[in-house]
Amino acid sequence: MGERKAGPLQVLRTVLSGLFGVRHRRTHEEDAAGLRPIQVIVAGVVVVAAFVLAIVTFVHFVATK
Amino acid sequence: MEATHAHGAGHAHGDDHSHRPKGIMRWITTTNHKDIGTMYLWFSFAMFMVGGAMALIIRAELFQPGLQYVEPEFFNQMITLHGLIMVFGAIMPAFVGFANWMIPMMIGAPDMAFARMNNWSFWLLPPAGILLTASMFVPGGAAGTGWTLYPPLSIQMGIGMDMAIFAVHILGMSSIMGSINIVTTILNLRAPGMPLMRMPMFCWTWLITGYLLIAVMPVLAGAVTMILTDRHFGTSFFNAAGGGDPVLFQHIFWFFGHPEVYIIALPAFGVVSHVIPAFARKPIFGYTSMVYAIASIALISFIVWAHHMYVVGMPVAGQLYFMYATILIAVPTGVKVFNWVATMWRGSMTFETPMLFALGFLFLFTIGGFTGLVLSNTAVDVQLQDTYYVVAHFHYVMVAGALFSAFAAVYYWLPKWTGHMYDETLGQWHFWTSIVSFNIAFFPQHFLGLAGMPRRIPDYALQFTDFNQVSTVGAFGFGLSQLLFLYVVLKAIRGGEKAPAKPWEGATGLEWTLPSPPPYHSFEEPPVLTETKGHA
Ligand code: HEM
Ligand SMILES: [Cu+2]
Repeated sequence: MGERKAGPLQVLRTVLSGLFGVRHRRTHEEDAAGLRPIQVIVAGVVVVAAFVLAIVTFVHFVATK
Repeated sequence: MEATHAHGAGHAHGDDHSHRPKGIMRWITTTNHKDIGTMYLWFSFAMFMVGGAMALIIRAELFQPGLQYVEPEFFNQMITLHGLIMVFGAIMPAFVGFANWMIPMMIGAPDMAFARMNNWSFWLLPPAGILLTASMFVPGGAAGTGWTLYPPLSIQMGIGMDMAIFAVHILGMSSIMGSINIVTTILNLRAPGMPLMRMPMFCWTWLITGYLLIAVMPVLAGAVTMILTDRHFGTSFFNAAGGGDPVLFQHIFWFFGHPEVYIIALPAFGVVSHVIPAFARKPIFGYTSMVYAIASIALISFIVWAHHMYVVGMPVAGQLYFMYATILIAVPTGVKVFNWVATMWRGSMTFETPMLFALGFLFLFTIGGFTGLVLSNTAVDVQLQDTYYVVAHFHYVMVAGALFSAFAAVYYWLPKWTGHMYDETLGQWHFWTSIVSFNIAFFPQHFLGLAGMPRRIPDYALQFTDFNQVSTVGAFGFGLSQLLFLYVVLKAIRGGEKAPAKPWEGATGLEWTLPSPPPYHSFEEPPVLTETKGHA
């Protein structure tokens, strides 16, 4: 297994497509080669936090007169 | 203990050279994952029968308006115990049983990582089951709060409530230990050459479920402990009279409760992700996306809990937040359904009993997911909260979802466990009687809920009679069908056509490289993995 390290953008893409649930085979194979689990976990938690913030912001926007 | 047993002369049974005690002591002292898996499964079935009998008492009372058979107090106790026993006594232990039996064989490990703790996790369950059932017979009867144990009721009831609290503590300890064991086994005992991203999907779903359990069972334990101290030690966490807040309990409970529904659903997803590819003779579609989607479902399940609390008086912004978040979490769940359908696309399918139950799961779980989506809409839920619509929703996801998946698992793995094929004709009868009676029992409950019939009441207004009668007939049919299941399982244990190592043409994975039944100790030497073996 070539130890190519995945950059933050690639991790982000992986996590976002995970949230959606769909993935290309080719991009997956790139992931399998370069991603470390800890990267995905950290990115996952960060993305979920961002997700909550985004919804809260949106709610703030629609729920204020 | 083991050393006291003399070494049998001449090892007649292949490599089955265990020094295990005979009779009941074998089961009490066992540290073998297969024995413990078997005990989990029988415990689960026994609890399923007890909880099922309670459900039939509920449905009998609801056959007609007015009070016929039971007192309202007793009716409430049945509602509570049915829920607690089915969730914590039947469904969860069933999937831990599958995990015990199958995960070591799937990953090529000799046993679970902590074999002695495994014994303890199981043997905690019977005391909890006894506490729950025995609480019916104490002064004041069992808890009558519903399985959600909301205060103020739960700080008022008698000793039956304390017994329920202790039962929840014990069950929680068992779940936590079981999860630590499963997580450790999966992370550390995989055969060399099986990377995480190549391991069977059932292991993935359990790995994530294990983390979920470790995260939320302590939360539940904390919540019920706070009830306990409110009841006996003068605290007022939830007691408004002392400055406490009953709604706080709901937040804590559902912070556990919503991840809990995925604790139940994810291993069920795992089973279906083995059965459908096996009988469609195609590998699972989108293995990696499946893994990621399951992980993200687990993460997001922590941020939607208050969709159970739309009517407690949240600010509009809170309602909106939980509505949007809940609707969005349905996306990865929905994509799972497409994954399974795509797996079947152009597959060469056959419809043996495990596949039938997996397809039943697919159809009916999808209905349950859709009604969940309906309920997640705050404006709609304000009408439907605490009606039979909610009861219909969660029975579609828990019974037609998790339970059907458990049936699929039993039929799929029974030849492996017993060494005998089950009776296919009777298995199919079990499927058809179950799915028909299930729908007769639960589909009308959608209409009852939409028409406004509240849940958890022993009596109802006349206009609800017809659908309730249909539902009761269906429920008794469903109950009877499960006796057929017991018969099929017993029959396969006692004999039947000899099962080959791999009875299903399309099945893949290490567990099928072992003979059926597998030796008492399997994979004492880790198997050698090739490129294709060991992938779900
Ligand atoms: C698409 C996914 C799902 C959505 C959007 C969803 C949504 C909801 C909502 C909004 C409620 C609250 C209804 C109310 O009380 O008024 C609810 C209740 C419930 N759901 Fe789901 N749900 C989903 C999947 C599941 C799954 C997979 C399970 C279990 C396997 C489950 C089990 C339950 C249970 C047990 C309740 C009722 C709890 C109680 O009040 O006793 N749900 N669901
Ligand atoms: Cu929920």
